Amino acid sequence: MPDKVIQVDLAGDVPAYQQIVNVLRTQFVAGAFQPGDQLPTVRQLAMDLGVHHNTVAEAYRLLAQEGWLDLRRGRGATIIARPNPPPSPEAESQFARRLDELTAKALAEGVEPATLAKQLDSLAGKLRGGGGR
Amino acid sequence: MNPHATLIETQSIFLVILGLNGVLMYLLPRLTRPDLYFAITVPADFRDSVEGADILRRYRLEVLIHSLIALALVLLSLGVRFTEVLSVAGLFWQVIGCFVAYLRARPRVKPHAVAPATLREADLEPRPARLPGGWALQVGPFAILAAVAVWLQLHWAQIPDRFPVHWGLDGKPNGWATRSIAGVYNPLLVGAAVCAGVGLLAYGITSWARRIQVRGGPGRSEKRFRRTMLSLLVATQYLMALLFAWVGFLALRTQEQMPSPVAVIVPVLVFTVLMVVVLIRTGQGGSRLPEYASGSPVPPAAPAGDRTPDRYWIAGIFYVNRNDPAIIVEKRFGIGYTLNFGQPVSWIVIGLLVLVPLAIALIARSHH
Repeated sequence: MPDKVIQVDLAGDVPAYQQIVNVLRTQFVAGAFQPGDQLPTVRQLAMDLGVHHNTVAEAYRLLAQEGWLDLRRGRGATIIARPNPPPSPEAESQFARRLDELTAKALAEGVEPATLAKQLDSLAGKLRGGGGR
Repeated sequence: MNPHATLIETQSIFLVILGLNGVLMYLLPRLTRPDLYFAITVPADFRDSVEGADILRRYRLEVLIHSLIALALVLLSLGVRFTEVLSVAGLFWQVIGCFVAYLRARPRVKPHAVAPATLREADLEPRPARLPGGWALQVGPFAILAAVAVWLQLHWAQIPDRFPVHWGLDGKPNGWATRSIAGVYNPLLVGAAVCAGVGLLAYGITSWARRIQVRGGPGRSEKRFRRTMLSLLVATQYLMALLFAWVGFLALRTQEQMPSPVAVIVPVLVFTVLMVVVLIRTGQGGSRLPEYASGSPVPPAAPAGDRTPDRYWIAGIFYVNRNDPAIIVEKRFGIGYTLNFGQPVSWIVIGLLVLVPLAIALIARSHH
């Protein structure tokens, strides 16, 4: 079971709300949470991360839009069962483009190609083993 | 009561307070998180460096000198007329002197300050907002005070028309109350307000304070530290309830039957000493617990400190940050928590903690 911990770099290039979305989505896909599980309240997560309430609220709103969360008033953020949408050619080409960009960025920052290949192999292994939903 | 014996008893209490304060101030720089030295974010190994050790040595020498001067003032008060003035002056000397020693150490640490880590982490398990110990434990102190109130009501006829409620250092009463609702129940009301205040602080620590470390040894030791702090606060609530219940019962005693205030001060001092010993063992945020150093997840690239930026601290004592949603934060030079004065809620909390007991005491005073 993956760690139910979130890390956010407040000085990072990616806005804090987007980092929260990325980390939570990764954990949802990895099966760290079950439908019905609760996330911390907006206030609690904002306090723990030292960010504004609106930052966490925006992240939760985006995840709710993607179908991961139910944000009913007074009940906090509840994880819901999310059926995978049918494969879309746009999503696949967008993924390929972003993977290319990410690989180029990592190489430009000095990451060894062998290290990258190892990471991608590991990821591919997880996906073949049913690690994604 | 023998006035001379009472004087020695009360001066002994002053000496215990001086000793306790001196030991705490002497040890404090080593009780904080390793990457906070004199309330400034530094690399965790700085305090063990030559410069770090030299700053500590000079600070401790000053603490020792001020404590000795304070001790001399209290001892001197045994042989002269202005007992209260000298004893209180001794305490003030020590507190202010140690604070000045701390302020003098800070500029020597500042050149070694580093930017704290910008990486923040949080537990994704929701923390239910609840009172420490649950309702059952929280009701206890108020039940004790209510039981005394009922007892006093049942024995109303035995309460003298005028009875002492405040005593000087010589053990002689210097404040009186009359047999009225406000006069008799005032200590119980103040006690209830104090217990509610301590309960509010404990609730605040569980709900309004961020967790600084989540994973590994530091995360586990911080959790243990919080549990210890909350247990101490619940124990304080019970101690305060018993103390104010005891004072409430004094309404039934005549002047001749009055017990020595030492009988109540000694348990308070013993509890305080025990609390200080426990906190010295845990260190701020559990940083002195054995598990703190074990199982650290990844060596941090920059010191985590207490995850608050140095620039929002005034003299390392007052935290004023409107952009930080945390209402309660860890003290930087001390063990325990303080308020984020940049949050309006903090001022409401201070208002409640100060004004409510004060209002009750003032209302009762008008009936003295």
